[in-house]
Amino acid sequence: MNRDALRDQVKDLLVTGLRLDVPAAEIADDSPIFGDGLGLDSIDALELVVLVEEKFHVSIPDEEVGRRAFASVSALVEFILSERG
Amino acid sequence: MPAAVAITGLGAITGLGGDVAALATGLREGRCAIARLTAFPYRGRCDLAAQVPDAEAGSHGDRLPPATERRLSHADRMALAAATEACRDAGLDAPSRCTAAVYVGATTGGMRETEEAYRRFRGGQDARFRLSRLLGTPLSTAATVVSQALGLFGPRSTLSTACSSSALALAAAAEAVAGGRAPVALAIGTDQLCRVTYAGFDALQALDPSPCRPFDRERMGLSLGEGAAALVVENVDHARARGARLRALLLGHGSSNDAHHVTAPHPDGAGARVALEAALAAARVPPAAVDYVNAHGSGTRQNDAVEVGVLRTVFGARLGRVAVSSSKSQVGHCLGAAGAIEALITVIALEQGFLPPTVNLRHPEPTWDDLDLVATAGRRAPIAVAVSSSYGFGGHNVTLVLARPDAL
Amino acid sequence: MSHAVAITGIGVLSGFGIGTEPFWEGLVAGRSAIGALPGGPGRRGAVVPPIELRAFARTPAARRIDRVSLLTLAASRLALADAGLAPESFEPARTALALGSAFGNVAETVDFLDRLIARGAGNAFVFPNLVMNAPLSYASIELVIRGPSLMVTEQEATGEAAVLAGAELIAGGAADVCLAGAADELHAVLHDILRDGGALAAETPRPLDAAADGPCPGEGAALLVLEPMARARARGARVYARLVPHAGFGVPAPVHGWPQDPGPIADGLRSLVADADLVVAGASGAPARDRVEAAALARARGERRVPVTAPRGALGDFGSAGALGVAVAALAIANGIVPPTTGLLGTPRAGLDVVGGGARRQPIGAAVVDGLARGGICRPVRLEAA
Repeated sequence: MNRDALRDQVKDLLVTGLRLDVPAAEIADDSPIFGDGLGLDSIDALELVVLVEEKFHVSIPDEEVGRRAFASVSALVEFILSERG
Repeated sequence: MPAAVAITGLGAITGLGGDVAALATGLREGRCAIARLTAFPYRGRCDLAAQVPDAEAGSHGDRLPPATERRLSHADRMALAAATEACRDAGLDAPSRCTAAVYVGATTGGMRETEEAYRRFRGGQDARFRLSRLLGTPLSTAATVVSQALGLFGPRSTLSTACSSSALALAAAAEAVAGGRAPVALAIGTDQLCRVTYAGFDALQALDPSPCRPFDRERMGLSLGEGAAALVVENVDHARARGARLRALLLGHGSSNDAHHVTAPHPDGAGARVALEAALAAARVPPAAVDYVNAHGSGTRQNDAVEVGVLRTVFGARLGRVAVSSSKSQVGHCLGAAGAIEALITVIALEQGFLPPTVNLRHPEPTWDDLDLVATAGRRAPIAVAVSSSYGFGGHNVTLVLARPDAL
Repeated sequence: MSHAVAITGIGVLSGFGIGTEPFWEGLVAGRSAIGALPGGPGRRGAVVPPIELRAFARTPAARRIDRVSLLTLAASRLALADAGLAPESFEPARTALALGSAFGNVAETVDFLDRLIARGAGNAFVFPNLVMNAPLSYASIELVIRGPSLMVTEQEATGEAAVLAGAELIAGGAADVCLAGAADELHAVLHDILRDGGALAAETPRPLDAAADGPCPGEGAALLVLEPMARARARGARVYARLVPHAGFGVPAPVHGWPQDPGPIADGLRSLVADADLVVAGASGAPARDRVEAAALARARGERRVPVTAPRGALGDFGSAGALGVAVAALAIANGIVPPTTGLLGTPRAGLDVVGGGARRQPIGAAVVDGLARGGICRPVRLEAA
């Protein structure tokens, strides 16, 4: 799967899974997912772990891994690619 | 705001035992009912709860037809057990029960039985939905079970505001008798453990993997519990005229809405403070006259911090001389039933001159060193006026002010 | 001290559409909002059309709102607009919410259970929405309401109970404005549970018809704006009707079923119905319900002929439908029109004067919504011309 397609999938997942108001295309690649931009809270974080694990068949076992993976959309894309080997 | 009303009957079934006497003994002995969850299979971050064994809730075949009795949920049975004890305690015979009102606070009702029926359908064990297994699903069933079994045909209502549900039910019962809508009212709280709430709180990481430790600096969340409590409420004159024993007075109540977030309390506790101050004002009791606070004290990092902040604001420098404890450390967080159970515990405390403990509390937050949190063991104390608070998901706050009958 | 209670605003979402206009128009025209439901043949019911979230929800928190909370919020905003009140004009601590739902958030409870069964884990995202009072949280956050608030649930009498709870708050002076009403959603699982239990009509519900074979499920929301009458008059508000508080009562009945004996119900309703010009009955076409309800109404009204209409035939049967019934009563009084009961073919039960065929024009001084529910619950609502 190429990076661009995966990036689009991640953005779509954020929008549909977390019921965001913004169009997927407007989510910045490198801004923090949990910064002020998207207005997400800790409940969204818990849900995102489940959604990402289910859709991309990766494992996010703890907060530390989650923090790295969710640093930004680009970070999440790299995390998924590296987990899938 | 009406005058004080009398509490003339008590009934309870909790993790500490099947009636009020067992509950009182458990409080005095500082026992903790939080143990391994066995009510249903569950694997998650936590496996503890304060349970009421099915057998404890009893059968009620003498008061209901067999077909109905078979279809009662655990929550229905517990409500009926508590209500039966309370009516007997208040000396309410059949004619005087006839016009009594019933107010129930609950959140899950027959959900455990509903889950089971749904699982069987999804898993293919049942080819169709079994309506007969789902009759207890509507939350208002417990009120109807109690009304029909005990012959209570006054006004009837079921209130559901998460963790403050049965505190609100007690307030509604007080309003009903004070307003002349019924001569006597029964306020009941009932809730049972079920997978939905257990898994939900676990998913929110709100459950403490060890028994909850309210106000402790290491606290990690709540411990769920189940149970039911019933309190008989009537006007003081009405109680005296029929020679009823007054067990306590409900001097007043206050409630508020945070209008802030669907789960988190407002960080500066504005809503909780409004409820507490409104309750004291309605009761015509200054903060200086309060001897004991039975706190919401759920054991989450957020709630306990916010709650202490509110107590500091309202009680000021005197806070160190007001005993504060959380009974959730002994009977768990009984959700919709918590308000009534904890009000009942507060009545026992006032009656017996005994402060129930916050068990499992080893080290309070350093900045709370000046508070009397009745850690580990309860103790004798001649208390006359007490406050009981419940704070629900969605920011619904209720505070009740209770007093010994001789406080009037 | 007891203030007279005025109904100054009505907001409805029903199978007829979003808004009070399509609702009233559809009912008066004698149409039915019941149609085929998606998901397989033989499923029939009345469903509210899709609601555009941002038409009614303004806060970021509403991103996660569930359908029942959204139905409630939408009806609330419609009612406030109808009353000519902007939320910004409220004093938050003097504004109250008295809401109700019989089954609450069915859709997300089902989703939650499905994930729990499949994965063994709960869903943190959805869990906060599963509490019965979620509509109370969302409405108070969106509309900034900090006064007395409560959530009631009384099965088939949920709508009436919520409206009466609101009336009590206004009458007692606890608030200057109260949004009172209820909402329930229809979900395929709920439909199938009723169907598998043999509890639904084969096709068309026929409330109060002796040959009725069952109800058809529906969904919807109705919220009323209630104010002290003096305050409503002072600000020149349009008053639909006066709402008379009533504490309600219980009658002997099987816990999970309908009363057998109409006598105690009639005794409780008699004084309310004695001089009424209209009864809005909750009758749904369920034989066990309609039978005792009709007999009770016949006994309560005595020798007088009082017109009866049963809107659940057109709107579908659901726990909160009584709130829409109160809206019908208020609109009937304000407009002098009684909408017909759909599905009536043969003789109405108990010799009642059930308005069928077309709408009936007549002045209405007082209307009663009978507010019966399983287990012997009775929450009658009386409205009077103001």
